[in-house]
Amino acid sequence: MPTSEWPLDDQQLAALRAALDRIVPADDWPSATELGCDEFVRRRLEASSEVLALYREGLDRLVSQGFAALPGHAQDEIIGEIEATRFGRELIENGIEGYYADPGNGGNRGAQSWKMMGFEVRG
Amino acid sequence: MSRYDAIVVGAGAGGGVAACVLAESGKTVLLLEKGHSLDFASTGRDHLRNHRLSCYGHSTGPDIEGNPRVFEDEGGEDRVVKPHWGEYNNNASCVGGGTLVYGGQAWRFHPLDFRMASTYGVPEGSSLADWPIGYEELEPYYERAEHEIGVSGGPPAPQMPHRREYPMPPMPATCKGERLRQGAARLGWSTQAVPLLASSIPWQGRKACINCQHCVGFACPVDAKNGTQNTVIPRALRTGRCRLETEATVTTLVGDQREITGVEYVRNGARETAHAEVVIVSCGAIETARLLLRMGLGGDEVGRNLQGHIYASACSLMPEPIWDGVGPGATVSTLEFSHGNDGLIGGGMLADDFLVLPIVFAKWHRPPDVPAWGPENKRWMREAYRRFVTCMGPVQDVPSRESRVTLAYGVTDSVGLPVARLSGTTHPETIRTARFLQERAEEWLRASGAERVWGRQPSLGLSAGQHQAGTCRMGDDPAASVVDSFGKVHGTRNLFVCDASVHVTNGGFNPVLTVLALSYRTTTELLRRW
Repeated sequence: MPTSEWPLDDQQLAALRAALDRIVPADDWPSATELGCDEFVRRRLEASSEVLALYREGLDRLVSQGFAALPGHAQDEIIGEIEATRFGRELIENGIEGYYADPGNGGNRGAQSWKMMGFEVRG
Repeated sequence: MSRYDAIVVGAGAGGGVAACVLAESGKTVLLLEKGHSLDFASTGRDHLRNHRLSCYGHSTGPDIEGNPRVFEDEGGEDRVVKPHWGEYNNNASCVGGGTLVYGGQAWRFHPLDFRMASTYGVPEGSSLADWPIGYEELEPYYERAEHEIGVSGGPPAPQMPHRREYPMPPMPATCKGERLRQGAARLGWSTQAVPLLASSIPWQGRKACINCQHCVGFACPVDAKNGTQNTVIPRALRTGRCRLETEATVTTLVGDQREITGVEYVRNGARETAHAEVVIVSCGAIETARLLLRMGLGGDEVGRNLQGHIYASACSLMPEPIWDGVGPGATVSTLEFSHGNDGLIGGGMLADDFLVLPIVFAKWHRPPDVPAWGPENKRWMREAYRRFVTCMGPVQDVPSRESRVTLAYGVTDSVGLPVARLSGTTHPETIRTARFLQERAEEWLRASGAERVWGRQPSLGLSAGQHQAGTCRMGDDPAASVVDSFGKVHGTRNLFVCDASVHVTNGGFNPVLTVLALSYRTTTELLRRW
């Protein structure tokens, strides 16, 4: 996804992707952005100017903390601090939604999270 | 201007049956539906925009824009809410209404559900009352609904005596259902298959259920879920005497307090008028009350006693994977706690749940000690999903007059009419019963071998979405009710209500079979007197 299609600047986008990959980190199975959770969020931002404003403000705060370049444990600490804020809740929910909802929403590419869990669509 | 024998406003459960009964008896019927005619192809399987989980919208109406409601929150503040928000208390708005997307649990109410006040007394601050009719009077119409709409299940629960078996055998047994049956047996609890308004075998020219993983909240991909949209409404249309108009919003009931002579409605921006001998309102407990309130019909009780169901539920992890993916998934139930619970009012049925989608599992069923994100959350999702089992049930609401629909002056819909305002909650006694049922659900899961059980404390709040009921209470006393025991609005000659608005109490069960049965009864009696 080229940056030009994003309503975020490069730094905001880098912070978003780094945060999503802490919300659903890689292990034996892919991370959030490896399954397209960033694309899921992009669609959310496209659909609502209110959500876009919330994200821009929240991501700017992460950018000001140098979020994208911090080590994982420091990133986790920051997410923990914002968990109860409006932006934090939205970010975490969207990361989880992108990862576990149907691929038609932009995330969960190849329905890989469903394979991970053992949810099989047979009919 | 058009003239019909009857106009039915709302093509959901009650309205669909009413249109069919009247049209097949030779009456001409205009069936008006505000929503669209929908099917699986037009609604799909979006896991975030469906009738089970509607985070960002839903696919089955009402349209997100132009249909607000006002909800009074706990602090007494009015907030304008959208159709896909929880506070809206939505039911699907389309041809078939909720029956297009329901799980379709096909429960009759328990005989004692009709006699709540005389069985338990009336707690202070509640409006608990007996129905003016009993189980016996509704029984033939329950049977008719089971056989004409189509129920799979059996044998029927002995608490609700049946003269005939269900027309279709139960859905296949599942691993979790089998496990829960064994658990109940260990506790000495009797169980039965959950009766479902879906086809376990080919039915009425349509296919049998394919046991897919997306039942409740979605339209059926093979049309094996039986609602009014694929049974009685097509039958009504086949008579040639019923005209169905969708995207038609009724603005006015024409006439005076005693006699309604027709309706005015808006369709595609055009104003239409139709006249009829009889008008039947079946818009669901919130919109039916709103229409009567706007028209000043039905008296002071209209809109009061709004109820639904608070659910008691418990979650568990089994020691090994038990998920077999066999839908619909609600398979085994117990009625041990429907009534007769020491010191409590009423009770409820408990059953296992429909198959749980991954995102619903993530959002609703996470135990308190599992974090909302991060590696532990992901491990939980991976290791717990196929071991997860939940039990739940609708708790009999103890109604309150202060739980109600009024008009929200100043907030209007797309045609400029004041929208519904929802305020109040069910009576707090309901929560005592819910806690007891939650404990029984936990007990059941432990007896079924769960290695870990957890639940969420039920809390008081309005829960009048898909199970909304009570706002046009049935009764013999016009001062204390809105319709008579045959659904006719007190004081009018020809205005009827055919939906859950007329429920005096809402049972400890999913209410749709009662809606269908009452509509058969009301329209049968209407024809008899015509």
